[in-house]
Amino acid sequence: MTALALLLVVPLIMWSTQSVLLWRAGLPLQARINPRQLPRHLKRYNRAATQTAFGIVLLAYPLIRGQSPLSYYGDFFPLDGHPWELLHGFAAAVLYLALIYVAWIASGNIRFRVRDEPARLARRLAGVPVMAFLVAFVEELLFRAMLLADLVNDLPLVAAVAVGAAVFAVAHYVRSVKRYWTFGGHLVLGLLLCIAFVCTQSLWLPIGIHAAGVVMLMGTRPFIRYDGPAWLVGASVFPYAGAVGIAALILLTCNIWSLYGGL
Amino acid sequence: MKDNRQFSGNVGVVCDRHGAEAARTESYLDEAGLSARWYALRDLDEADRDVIAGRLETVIFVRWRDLLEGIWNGEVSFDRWQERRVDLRFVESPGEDERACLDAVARAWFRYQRARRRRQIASGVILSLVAIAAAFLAIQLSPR
Repeated sequence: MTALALLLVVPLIMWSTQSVLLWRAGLPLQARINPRQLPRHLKRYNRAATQTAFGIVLLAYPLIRGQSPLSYYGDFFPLDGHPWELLHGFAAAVLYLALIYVAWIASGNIRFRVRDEPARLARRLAGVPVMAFLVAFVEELLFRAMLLADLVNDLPLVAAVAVGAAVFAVAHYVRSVKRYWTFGGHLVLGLLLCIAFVCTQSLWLPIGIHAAGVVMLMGTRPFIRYDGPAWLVGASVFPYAGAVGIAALILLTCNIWSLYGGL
Repeated sequence: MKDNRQFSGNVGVVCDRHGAEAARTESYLDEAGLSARWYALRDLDEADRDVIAGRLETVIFVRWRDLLEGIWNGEVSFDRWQERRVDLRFVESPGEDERACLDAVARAWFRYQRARRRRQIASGVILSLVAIAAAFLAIQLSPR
C-alpha cells in the first residue's frame, strides 16, 4: 500500500500549489482542484508543480523500497521478445478505434469537419505522437509499474487489479472536469491496462495500447464532430466512454487475456 | 365523373394504395376528375425517374411533408422537377397562408430529423457491433 499512499500525495501537492497561486493572485481559495480558475500566466506554474509531484512520487517509490529508480522500472521493460508487445498493443487498439470510427462515420454518428487553420492543425498533429507516448509512459509507470505492482504484493491478484483499475479511473476525476459520466469508460480502460500488465509482467503491452488510444483520440479530434448520442459514441476525446467504446474495451481485454495467457 | 377526367396517363399520385390515406386520395382524384398512376411513398424514386423521363407532368402528394422528406432524403431531384415545370398538387395543403406553410415545413423538418436520428442510431449500433466483432476476430486470429 506504499504506492497508494504516495499517489495520494499528488492531489495534496496539486491542491496546495493551486491554493498558493490563487492566494498570490488575490483570488479566493477553492475546495476542488480546478486549474481553469487560475489566471493564464499562473497556469504553467501549476502544471509544472503537478508534473514535479508525479516525478517525486515516481522516484520516491523505488527509493523507499531500497532500489534505484532505473533498476526498479527497468525490470518492467524486459528485452527478450517483449518489445514486440508494444507494437502488438498499439496495432490492436488502432484497429478497434479505426473500425469504430468508420462505423460511426458511415452511420452519420460522427461528422468529418476540420476545425483549425492548416498551420495550427499541423502544429497540433505534429505533437500528437510524442505526447501520446509521453502520457502513456508516465501513466503506465505510475499506475502499473508502481501502484499495481505494489498492490499485487499486498492483495489477492483479482482485488489488486480491481483496485488498480478503480484508482486509475478516480485519478482522472481528481481535478474538476466537464463530464463525470465518462467514469465507466475510464474504469474499463483501467481494467484493460491492468490485465495487460498482469498478463505480460511488463509495460510494453500496456504502453502500446495506451499510446495508440491517445494517438487516435488526439489525432482525430481536430477532424470530427460527434452527432450521435453520448450513450452510444461518447463525446470529445472519450469515445471509449459510450456503450460501443466500453464493449470494445471489454473485447480487447478478452483478446489480451486470451493471447497472453490469462492470470 | 370518369368521363370528365382532365388528365390521363401523365398524372402520378404518391400514396400507398392500401394505406390509411388511400380512400381520401381516391376521393380527391374523383373530385378533381383525374386518373393517375399510383406510387407508394417508398417508391418515390420511381416517380422521380418518371418525372425526369417526361412520363409524368402532374404529381399529387397527400401532404407537403411527403414531398419535403423526398427532397431531403435525396429521392426527389427537385431542381429537375422545376426544370420540367411539374404541376404539384396536394390532397392536404396548408394553403396560401405563409405562417401555415412555414409551420408545415417546420413540422416536416422536425419529423424528418427525428426519423433520421433513429436511423443513424440503429445503423450506428449495427455497424459498431460489426466493427468491434471484426477487430476482435482479426486480433484473435492474427499470429502473435
